Amino acid sequence: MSAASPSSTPAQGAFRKFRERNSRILPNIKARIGVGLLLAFVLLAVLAPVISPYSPTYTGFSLGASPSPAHLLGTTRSGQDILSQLIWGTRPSLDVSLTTGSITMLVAVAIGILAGLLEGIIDEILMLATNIVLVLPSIVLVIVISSYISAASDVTISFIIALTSWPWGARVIRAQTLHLKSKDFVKAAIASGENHFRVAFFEILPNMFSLVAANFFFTCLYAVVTVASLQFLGLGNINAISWGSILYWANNSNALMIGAWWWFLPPGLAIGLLGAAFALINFGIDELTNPRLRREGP
Amino acid sequence: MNRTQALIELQNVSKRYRRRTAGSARDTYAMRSVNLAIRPGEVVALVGESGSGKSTTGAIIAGLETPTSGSVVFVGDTLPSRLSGDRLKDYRRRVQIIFQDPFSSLNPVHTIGYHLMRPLLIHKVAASRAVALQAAEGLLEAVGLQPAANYLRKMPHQLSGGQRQRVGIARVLATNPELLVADEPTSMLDVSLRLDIMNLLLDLRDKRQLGMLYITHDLSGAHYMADRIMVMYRGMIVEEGLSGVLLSSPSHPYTQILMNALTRDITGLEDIPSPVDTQSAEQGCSFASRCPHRMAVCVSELPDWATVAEGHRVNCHLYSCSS
Ligand SMILES: Nc1ncnc2c1ncn2[C@@H]1O[C@H](COP(=O)(O)OP(=O)(O)OP(=O)(O)O)[C@@H](O)[C@H]1O
Ligand code: SF4
Ligand SMILES: [Mg+2]
Repeated sequence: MSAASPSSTPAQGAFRKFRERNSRILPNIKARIGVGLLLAFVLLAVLAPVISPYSPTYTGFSLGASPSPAHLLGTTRSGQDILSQLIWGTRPSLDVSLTTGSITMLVAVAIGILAGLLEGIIDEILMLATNIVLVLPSIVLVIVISSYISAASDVTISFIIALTSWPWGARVIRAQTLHLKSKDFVKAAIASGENHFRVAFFEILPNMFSLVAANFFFTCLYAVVTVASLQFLGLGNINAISWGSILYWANNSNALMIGAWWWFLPPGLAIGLLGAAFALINFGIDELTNPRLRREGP
Repeated sequence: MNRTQALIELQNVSKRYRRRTAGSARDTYAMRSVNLAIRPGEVVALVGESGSGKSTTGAIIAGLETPTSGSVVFVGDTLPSRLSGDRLKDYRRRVQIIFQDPFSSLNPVHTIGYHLMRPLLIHKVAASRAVALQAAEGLLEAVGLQPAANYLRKMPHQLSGGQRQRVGIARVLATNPELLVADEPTSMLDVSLRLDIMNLLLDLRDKRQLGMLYITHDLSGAHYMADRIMVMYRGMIVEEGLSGVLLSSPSHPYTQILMNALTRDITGLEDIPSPVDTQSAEQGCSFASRCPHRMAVCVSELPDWATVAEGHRVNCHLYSCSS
């Protein structure tokens, strides 16, 4: 089919809607700052090999040096360049949060939509599972599970976090599915013979784009903070270079006590900024789609 | 009476909705022992106030809801309580529904072309997307949207209410159905457009011998559209007859009130609520609380059906007592 095909696949439809939303997201100041920050981090992660002054693992520099022109953020107690570590650390931190966000979103969407659409016993089972996971103290659970798995990889950690954080998304998506299901266009699709799968993913899901996106970014935010906390506690892979592991080694070397701010402050700031980027995008989407929050004005 | 086999027949169909609010379940009978039949090429109007159960009746015929009790007979076959598989697909192809609100009946994320091509592809009316595209253009032309090629690429929000309703009609025609439920298809449209849509539906009925359930709360619209009219009150059919006969001598007190409202041009008719509630209907006439002709027997005994003229029946003690 030619590009000017008058019919649209659902993906094209969703994309068109995304583009329309997009033209409204950009004027939104919060979302704009959030997207800008996120892009900056992505750029940093991609260009790490080019920007980074030294190898992040090289240990031959003077030990525990303060900032100097040669080492803008000083060196660690084992003689590594902290700035290089910070730049290289962007990659895993970004990776793990986006992976967690994606896994959580997929699970939340699948469970939320199925529960809302199928109702009856399937809904009740799914919602029971949701409620159980919802009341579990998730951060404790994450800590417990990851301490059983020695040196858990980032992907494992992503799965553990996703396991405990999908219910929030699943609940709102279920509620929205119930709402959309009563709309005539869903009834019309059913009446024209669409099956459950098509109704769920081609009729209902594209209408929840903003909800799903907001859920995704919220989980990313949660993941950034959680993963950093885990690594700070020495769980997960602390020998890989990441913001959390920099914090772990800084703490291990009493950086706070000796006042080596150049060691513990930058990674903390990076975690905060990436978290802020996700939070701002999330707020932005909320404001654009929730009329009650939308500000008056051009 | 017409001797051809009915397309669809509802036999003693009741529908109960269970509303669960904070633990306590409240039952609503949206339909009570409804009997109804539609033959090929016949338009049956279902008239009644808001909440009388018209849409529920339409949804049951369209296969979107299942009866709580009673049976649905489709072209001679009694349907199982839940259709599935090939039988369901076959039913979906042969029975279609047009909705009231043209603004919510099209999915905002899909093009007009998508809406029309899906039923064609689902039911393999068109073998390929190219054929479906061709057929979709034909459907748009059939409902008077021209040039059709321009509409295929449009999104629903780019069309007016009247144009959307035409798309809604084009979509149901895609599978070449035998039976159509039209649930107040004109009530959300400008008055100037209503006649166009009604004529379009009648035209399709003539060309395709469609059977149609035309739901409305407007008696004059029912008269224009229908061969037969059924009046519904609180989930029950209270009077039915050939359009001309019924409207020239409305017999049930409720129908008479509807007629008076019409001649006095009271437009807010649909705003009078007629709540259906838990209290069982077996306790006398459902209209008793509002009826100007209420008698003692009305609150104690369920009225019987009485034939007042050829093809004109009424469910009221006024007639069964005197005969
Ligand atoms: N899904 C549902 N759940 C619970 N109650 C329902 C449901 N659908 C309809 N009802 C109730 O059933 C009764 C009949 O509703 P229905 O929509 O069939 O009426 P209607 O005659 O089409 O009214 P209107 O003219 O307003 O469209 C109403 O009291 C309504 O509240
Ligand atoms: S049965 Fe009695 S209450 Fe009911 S409509 Fe007839 S006269 Fe009125
Ligand atoms: Mg209705």
